Amino acid sequence: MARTAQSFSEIGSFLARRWSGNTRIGVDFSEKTGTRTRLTENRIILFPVERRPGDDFARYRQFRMDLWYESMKVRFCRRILSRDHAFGFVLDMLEERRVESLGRRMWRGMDNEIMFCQTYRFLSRPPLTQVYGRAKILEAFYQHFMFGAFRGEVQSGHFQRVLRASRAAGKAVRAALEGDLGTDWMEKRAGEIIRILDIDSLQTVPVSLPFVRQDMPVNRRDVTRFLGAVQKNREGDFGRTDPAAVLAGESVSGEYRTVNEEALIHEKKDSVPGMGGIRTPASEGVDESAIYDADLIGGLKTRFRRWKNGYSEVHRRSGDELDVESYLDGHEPFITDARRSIKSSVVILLDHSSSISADAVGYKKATLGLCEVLAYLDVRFAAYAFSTVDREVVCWLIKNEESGWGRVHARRLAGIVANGSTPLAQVYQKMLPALQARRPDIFLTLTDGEPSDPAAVREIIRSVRSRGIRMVALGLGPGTSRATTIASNLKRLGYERTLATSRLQDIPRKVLGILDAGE
Amino acid sequence: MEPTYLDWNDSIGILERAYKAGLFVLVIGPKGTGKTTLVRRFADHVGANLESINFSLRTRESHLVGTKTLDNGTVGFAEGLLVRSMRSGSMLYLDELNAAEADVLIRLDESLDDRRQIILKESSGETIRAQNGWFVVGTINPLSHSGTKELPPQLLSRFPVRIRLEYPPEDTECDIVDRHTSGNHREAVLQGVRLANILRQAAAVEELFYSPSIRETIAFGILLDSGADAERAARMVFGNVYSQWGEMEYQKVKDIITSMFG
Repeated sequence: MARTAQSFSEIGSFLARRWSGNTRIGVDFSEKTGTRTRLTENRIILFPVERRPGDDFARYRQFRMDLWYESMKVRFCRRILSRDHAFGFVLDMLEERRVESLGRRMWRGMDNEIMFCQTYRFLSRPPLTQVYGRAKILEAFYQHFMFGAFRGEVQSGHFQRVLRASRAAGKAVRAALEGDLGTDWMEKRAGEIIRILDIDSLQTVPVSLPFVRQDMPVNRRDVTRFLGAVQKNREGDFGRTDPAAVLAGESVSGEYRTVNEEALIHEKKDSVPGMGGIRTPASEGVDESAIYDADLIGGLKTRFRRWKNGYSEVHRRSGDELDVESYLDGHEPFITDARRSIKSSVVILLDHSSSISADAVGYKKATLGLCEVLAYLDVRFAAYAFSTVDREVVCWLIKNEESGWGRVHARRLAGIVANGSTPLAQVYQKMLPALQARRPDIFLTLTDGEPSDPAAVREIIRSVRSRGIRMVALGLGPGTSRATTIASNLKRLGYERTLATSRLQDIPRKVLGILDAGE
Repeated sequence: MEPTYLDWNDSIGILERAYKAGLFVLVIGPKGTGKTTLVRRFADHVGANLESINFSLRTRESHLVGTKTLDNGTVGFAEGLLVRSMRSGSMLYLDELNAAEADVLIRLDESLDDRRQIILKESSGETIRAQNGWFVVGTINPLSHSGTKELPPQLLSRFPVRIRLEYPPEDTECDIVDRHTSGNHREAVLQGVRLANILRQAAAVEELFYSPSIRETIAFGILLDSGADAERAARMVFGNVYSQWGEMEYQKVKDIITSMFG
């Protein structure tokens, strides 16, 4: 399911950016906080897909619609307050209804999905008999305003207040839409509704996670019944909708199948036989934006752009252009174009020992830039890293050769904590089965220290080289002289080629130089 | 001027003034914004003979200036498009100039300076002087387009008049589509133009590999005229192309189409 979450995160980020018009929005999942949006951090956090009620397809549809609602809030709301207190909770309800109407003006294919989503939201609310204390009237108001009905019975003393608040909320939303009024205006109306409900605006609201859990069956009769209630409540806005079409969700079924298949492919790619000693870093809840240096990546892409579609001139027996001097000298007379591209496959191992922790962000920025530009140039590459966790050396798989580079891989890189020493032989040993299976052309190690086990490293390098893999090392040091010392020490270990750099931002250029020379 | 061409930002007017003053023009804009159409319509408008060359990484000096030939052991010289255009004084259209290699641009630079001449060092060393009325229009794509390079400053200065041609505003793009269609589906066309803009934004940040052009919004309008349903037409014109980058890329775009058209 973790892989599925990665696929959902990829497609979710794409959709959220298009729907919201904000190209920097990213999507995460969290079981603890439920669905919420942090505008300042450009993040939409969703309740995990697998924890939602219904079958797999129903869960996917709920995820998609929650994402749409949050994207509409990003597009149309000036502020998004926390729903942990009554004022934020009420404001969010009003804003949700307002942005839904605004969103439907452009996203006209959403009506059936909105109906479906509202049905499951209603189904997921707790019955009022199970809500205690001051939260009860707020929950009753939520259910009445959003779905036009209650689950369970509302206290007689609350009913009139809920009804009045619900009417006032409907009126406020209509006025906001007619007058093109935004969040600031709506905040004042939220205050009025709080007064009608006679509750404290700072009253704590329990985190509203879906009430029906994965292990609780959702029966079709219930879904149809709740759908009926939602349709009746929203008939004024949506007109008549066909319940069968709402439940079938044909417009998104193809997309759901593809996401599932993609998730399976990811799962297979990331579980390579013989890779027992290699782990995949957690990528959920990791913010990769801290190591994403857009200027560095943009600069690298511009610099290596010509490598992508590059051609170089070569002399041949036939061709487009006659070179008279070569002809007279008896050399190959015609100039023609030869395509320039990197065909070598490469495995990159990134040292994440404690010595890089002081400059971990710069190091990760540079290595992320390297991976981005390799993906841009369509180079076949895999990326690994090693660090120490709980006194155990761990070799991390960041990206397999078969997977395309994406946000998930950047997050994996961001999630690795630099720690421990440099037990290269142990790491190589863990990677040996994968190297044996893949047989890359080049195996490049980026390290800033000397291995703690030089004799064993020498032995294993010899073994890897005998398999036809070129062993290359790039030594990183704080100054030119230290970097050169590291590189010359590495050379003694038996690497075919060693390079040195003291500037982290030079890493991508150096690595591409190695690949170009390897052609 | 053909009635189908909509000069929404007075580009024809600027070209006309530059043409009369003998100033060369550079049109800058992303793919599919109508740069070539603009130049072709302008050439028709002033009745000039238009010679075009489309630059790429594989365009070489010889394509512009000319190349030596070898026929039965005899070395000859076939003139290139630049030389032919200078001799005849026609309008020369240099499309996607910034896709060319530096050595090609250097030869071009030689011919574009105030002397308007080029020395055929590849052949007899003859100096070719441009006929009166020789007019050059170049186009470049933004650097974000794959295969493009920064144009050297000296070459940029040979084109003192620069026209920026972006994708037009939504309503204007609808007007352009209307000129090629019946104009009976304004609402659906507007939705199609919005979809195209969303895909263009995604391509601009490299989240998609392809950005639809005005040509495609026109095709969308034509399909609507032929009776196609808007969602189906959108999939055919805007969606299906992404399947070449895999099922996931296609489904991403299909979802956007579904959200917009149902």
